[in-house]
Order: sequence, then structure tokens, then C-alpha cells
Amino acid sequence: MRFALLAYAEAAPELTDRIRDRLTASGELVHLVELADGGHTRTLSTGAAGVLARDGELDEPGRRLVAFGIVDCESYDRATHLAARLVSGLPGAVAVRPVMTTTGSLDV
Amino acid sequence: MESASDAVVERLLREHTPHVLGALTRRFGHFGTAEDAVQEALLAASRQWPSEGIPDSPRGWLITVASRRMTDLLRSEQARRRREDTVAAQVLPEEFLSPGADAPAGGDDTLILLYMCCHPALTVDAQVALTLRAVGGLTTGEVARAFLVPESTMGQRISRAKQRIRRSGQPFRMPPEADRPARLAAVLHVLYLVFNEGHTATSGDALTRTDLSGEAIRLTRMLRGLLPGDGEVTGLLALMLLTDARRGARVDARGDLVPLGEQDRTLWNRGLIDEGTGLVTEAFAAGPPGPYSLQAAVAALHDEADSAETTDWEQIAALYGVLEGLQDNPMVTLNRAIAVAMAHGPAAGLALLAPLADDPRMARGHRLHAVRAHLWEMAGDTDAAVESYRSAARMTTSIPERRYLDRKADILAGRAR
Repeated sequence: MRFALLAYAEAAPELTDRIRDRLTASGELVHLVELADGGHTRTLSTGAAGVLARDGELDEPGRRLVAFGIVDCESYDRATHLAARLVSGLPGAVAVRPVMTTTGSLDV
Repeated sequence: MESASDAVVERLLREHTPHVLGALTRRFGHFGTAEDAVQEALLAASRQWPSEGIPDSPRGWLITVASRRMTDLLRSEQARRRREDTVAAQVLPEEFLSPGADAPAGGDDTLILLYMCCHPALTVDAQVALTLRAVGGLTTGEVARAFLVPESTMGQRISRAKQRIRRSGQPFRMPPEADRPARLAAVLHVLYLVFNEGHTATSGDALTRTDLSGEAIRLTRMLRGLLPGDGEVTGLLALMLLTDARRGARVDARGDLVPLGEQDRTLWNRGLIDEGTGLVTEAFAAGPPGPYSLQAAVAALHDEADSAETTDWEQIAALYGVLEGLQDNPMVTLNRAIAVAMAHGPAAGLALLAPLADDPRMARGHRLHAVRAHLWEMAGDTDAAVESYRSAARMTTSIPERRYLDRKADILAGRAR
């Protein structure tokens, strides 16, 4: 089963490093994308006057998406366990989100 | 020696893999290292045989080459450990080209290998990967492509699995009699997962992905050859053949899923259906049917019918009823509800679904919503059906299923307007 692990942190690369090192070693990392600083983000949305572009992101300050990894692991529980170990002792958060696949085996 | 096509060589190599690995592990121990050595021998053969021809004794050739490689690997391992002995190097590869009188039949080795690869200390993903490489003879790259993960990730998964087996101290022999049913169940589960992964791959993937359903069928056939009297092995093979028989009809020209009831049944593979149906009969004759045999019997009833309307739904509902008694699995109840609805009308099916709403195992899944949608559609309650199709589409993690469910909702909503 595939999950996106979304790593939120203020800036710390620690969380990203952990994803790379630990999940490579466990044979579960499919892909890791490290994101540039949130200051480089441009967010587009539709407002009353049409489409608006503004610099900056939607996340709350202090909880910026710094990286996301795609993992291939046995179950939702396993992905949750991985995320818990990644975030343990560090500031920030890791969200676990299922990825759509052709098999789609979230249930059973 | 005569030259041979790549496909012929590949088939031959996969057939010999478990025997060669069994011989090597039996002789040298060190399952993990032996497995690496066998992979290298397979690679050498796949390079040489197509141009130079298949040797008179392919297995002997592979054992010789793998043994040499094994000796090198063990030597360098020992050198790394700064030991002076080169125990393994004293064994001459020629010694075991002709097995001794006490050597067990090759089939036993294959069984031992399957049990080993499906060791309970491993995660199911690791069991699958290791089985395909060590018993199936697939390369790490092939297994990685089949599961759409990077080769390095798959390599790491396989080597971790081998480390775990080593740490578990599992000797290379048959597990005790008492453990065998559970180990066999794990093996069947792995083969079933491999089949399913291949079966659900969309046609676009099929060009680049290894044919996993074909590989699962090959390995299950081999297992049946080793355990011909086991009803569940036979049942699983039947289930695979009867499911695979519909392969040509399960997606349309646009690559969208076609549900069973709407499939063009002339596209179903008659030969596979006949073989699968025969196997179901055999499986049921072997004793009280287990879960795979029961599911195969359901598949046979579908495959034998000309249309959804002429299907023996009563019998299918009864089979799911037996399965419910064997497994505490809400998915079985879902399937029984569909069969009951087809036999006795949607209200009877919906009544069976009611208790599942509180089942925590159903909470994350989309299937309860999908089945409800289908039954409400049958009952003519379009609004409820559309809402359930939308919920199911939102909750599924399968791309083709989401497309199908959204399309159903769109069509029904359009009709309601």
C-alpha cells in the first residue's frame, strides 16, 4: 500500500533526513521530494476579481510543508508507526495520507 | 547445444531456480548468500544461453556456476571477518552435480524454500518479494518494476528479509508437522496477493510490468504438483484460473473497469474456465472446502452463466454463507448481500448490510458504500444511490474504481434530472 508522508516543520532538515535514511534502510521509500523554503511558494486562487496570485503558502506559520515522501508499506498501521517514529522527539508533524493506485487496497 | 529464444531461456531458468537454490543451501547453508549466488548464475545463463545454446544439463550448469560464485562470496565474507579458514572452498562443485542417495527429492526443497520465504518473522511485502526472487527466479529489477518501486528499495527489502531469516535461526528443512498448516496458509496468501496485484494492474501498466498473475499461476501450479492432495492449493489455482479467464473483458477500450454483470462474456477464456471448473470439483472432493475453494466455486458459477440474470445467485449466496462460517470478514457478508439481492430482491440485500454500518472494519473502506449504491440503484432509489456512489468514489484508493464509481454517479444523476 502506498502512502504520502507529509513532513511539516519550521525549517529543520532533520525530519527530511530521517525520512531518507530510515525509510531507505527499511526498504519502504519509493520517492522523496524536498521542498524549497515556503518563501518561494506562489499560491493561486480565485477571488472576487478573478484569479489571484500571491507569494507565500497556505500553511500556518511554523508548520510548513518541508518535504514529502512516498512509501510502499504493508498497512495503514505500519505507515502510522513509521510516521510516529519519524516525528518522535522533533518539533513539527508528519501526516500520513493514502495515495491512489491501480490496486487500491486500503480496506481489507 | 542449440540457440534458444530469450523467452524459452527465461522459462527454463525460472523452472530451475528453486531446485538450484535448494541444492546450494543444502550444501553450503547460508540461505541468503546462496540466494545471491543463484541470482548471479541466472544472470550469467540469461546472457549466455540465448547465443551459445542451452547446455545439456541446464540444472547442472546452473549449480556449477552458482557454486563457484557461492565459494567466492563465502571466501570474501570470511576474508572480511578476518578469518583464515576457507571452509566452503573445500567443497568441489562437481560433487553435487549428481545428488547422493540420501538427498531428498527436489520438490521437497522447493516446498522448504516457499515456507522459508513466507517465514512469519517477515512482513507480507517482504514475503512476496523474496518468494518471487528466490522461488520464482525473478530479478530484483523485475520484482521492483512489477510493484512500481525503485530497484534500490526492492533490493533493500529483499536483503532485510534475508537478514531476518538468518537471525531467526530457521534451519533449511521442513518445518515441524504442527507448524505446516499455518506456513502453507502464508504461502497461499502470498501467491494470492501476487496474483491480485497482477490482475488489477491496468492495461497501460501491463506493457512495463512483469506478468504477475502469470507468475502466480505458474508458482501455484508448481505447488499443486508438490501437494496434489491439498484441497486449498487446488482451490487457489482454480480461483486464479477462473478469475484470469475474464481478463480480456474486465476493462473496455478506454481502459475503464467493466463490472462483471456488463462484461462481454464471449471474451472470456473457455479453456481456463474448463480447467478451473474441473479443479473446483477436485478441490471439493478433497474434503470440507476451505476459503479459496469456496471462492473458486463462486467464480465457477459466474463463469458458467450466460449472463448476470441466468447466474445461480441462490447457490452463490449459499457458498458465501459457508464462507462466513469460516471467516469473520465483513467483506464476505457484503458479497453475500449482493447475491441475496440478485436472488430475492434489493430489500433483502440491504437488510443484510444494516449490521455492517457499525463494524469498525468497514469505516475506512469504500465497499460498503459501493454495494449500498448498487442495491439502491436496483431498488430504484436514485438519490440514495447517487449519494452512496459519491461516498464510495471519495473513499476508494483505487484509481480505476474511482473513475467507475464517479461515472455511475454521473449517469444516475443525469437520468434523475
